[in-house]
Amino acid sequence: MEKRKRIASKEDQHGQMMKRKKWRLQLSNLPEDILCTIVSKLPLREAARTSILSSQWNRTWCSHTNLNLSYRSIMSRRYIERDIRPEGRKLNAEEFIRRVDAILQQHNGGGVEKIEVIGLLENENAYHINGWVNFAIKSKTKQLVLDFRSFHWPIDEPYNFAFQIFDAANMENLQSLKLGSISLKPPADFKGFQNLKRLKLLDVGITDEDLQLLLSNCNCLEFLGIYCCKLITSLRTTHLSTQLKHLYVYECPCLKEIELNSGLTTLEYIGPLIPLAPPGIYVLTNLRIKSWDISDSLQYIFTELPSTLPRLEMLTLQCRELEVADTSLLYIPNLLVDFHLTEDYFARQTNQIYLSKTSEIGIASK
Amino acid sequence: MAAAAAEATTDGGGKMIILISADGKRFEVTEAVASQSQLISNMIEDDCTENGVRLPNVDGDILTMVVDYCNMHAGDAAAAGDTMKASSTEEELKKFDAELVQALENPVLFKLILAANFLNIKSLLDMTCQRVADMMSGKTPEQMRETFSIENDFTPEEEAAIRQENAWAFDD
Repeated sequence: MEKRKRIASKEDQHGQMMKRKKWRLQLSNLPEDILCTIVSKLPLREAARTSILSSQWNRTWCSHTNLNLSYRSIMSRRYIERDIRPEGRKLNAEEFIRRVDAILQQHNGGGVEKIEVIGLLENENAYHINGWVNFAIKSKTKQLVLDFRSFHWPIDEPYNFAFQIFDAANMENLQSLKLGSISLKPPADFKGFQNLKRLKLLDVGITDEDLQLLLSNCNCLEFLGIYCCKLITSLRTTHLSTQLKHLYVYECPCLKEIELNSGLTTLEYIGPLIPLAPPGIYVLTNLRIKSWDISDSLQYIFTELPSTLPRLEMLTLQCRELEVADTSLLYIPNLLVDFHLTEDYFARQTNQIYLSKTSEIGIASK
Repeated sequence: MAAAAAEATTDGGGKMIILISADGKRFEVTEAVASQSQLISNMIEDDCTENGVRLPNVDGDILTMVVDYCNMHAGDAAAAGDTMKASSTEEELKKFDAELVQALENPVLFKLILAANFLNIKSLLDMTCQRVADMMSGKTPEQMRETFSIENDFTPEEEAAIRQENAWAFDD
């Protein structure tokens, strides 16, 4: 803060000095689209404050291309403090909705890069949320985040994602979608997000069949992240063929099996160990597993798994309480064993490796 | 300085082209270096760089900076194959970029922005616009007006109305 003040006063001196000269290129002389680029690099609140600078600047912020609409970014501290009481939470949701509506109404509606709505909203707010999704479509938004996860309050009825707003023509700009604490029921004739490259589902209510339907026709999908989705029991990406490169699965309690597509190169799995792949050869180069109960499977991981993963370059295991005795991991051809201990100690003897507490073994290719 | 930078690239091979600034200064650069400008890249594709590329919007002193920037960043792309080299280069690049914009007086910075915009060099435009955004950040409207010589043409009533309309941005 101190430093910032000093810099500010230095620039002010420059500003004073420069007034004496005749004509100098000023910020306000730059074309409007450049001013928009500059203002878009400011957080939304600071950008909105430029509305008061002059009539030229009044609506420049309305072309902001990175709309971060969260409690943190558009609500002041006094609102957030009352969030701890149930009635305060409801009032906050209403105020938050009012502000988001007002901001989007002022926006000129063109070429938005990213819209992030992060707040404690539910299906009773669907009318407004659908309006924002509509805005995202009309403004050709490339990245859309609707994250309604609550870490303090249970959600009565999660927002039901408005698939009906999308059609083949208007979803072509959407490249990245992140949804949190939302219910997803795609209609039977859903055609898929044809240009979607990244999809993240966090605590999303979606069944196995609906996930299949959602992913069908997502032919550009490169990254799929599934976090704490409690209805998922089986995850199949086989039909996504070679485009999908990176799959991230985090603590899905009912997940019993994962079937991988052949082009996958990176798999990160966090949760209880389950069958990871049907028999076959995979092109995986990067595998990370984080699990509490990994000990029983170590023999498999170090001896049999590499034979199905001939291109494996990096294997990372994170687990608690790990004891490996006389393992053959040191003899895996073309693999270099590299230990990163995150905590506690390890002692290595001939042909024996003991690890304890949270440890990590990384194996990197030579 | 620009001449030295241009000469250094001749060792790197590749076809050379001449850039000519508004005040007639000539800069010889490789096509690879110049192609970071989307404008020039398109001209190279259309085969119209043979007699030199005249840039009537860009002064020699600004073009010197642009050429330095492009030389620096083209080197990075070439070294990308070598991981060790690339990582040290990345740090050097960051330092180079920071030093390039840090010391500039406002009008020079704005001219550089205009040049990056005209030549369509996205990374340079991004970096220079970021510099201005950083200068705006944390300032009150009054401080912003002073720093950037913005004249407040609102009446107190109009100003109050705008504050009211965007009240969320002004409350803490």
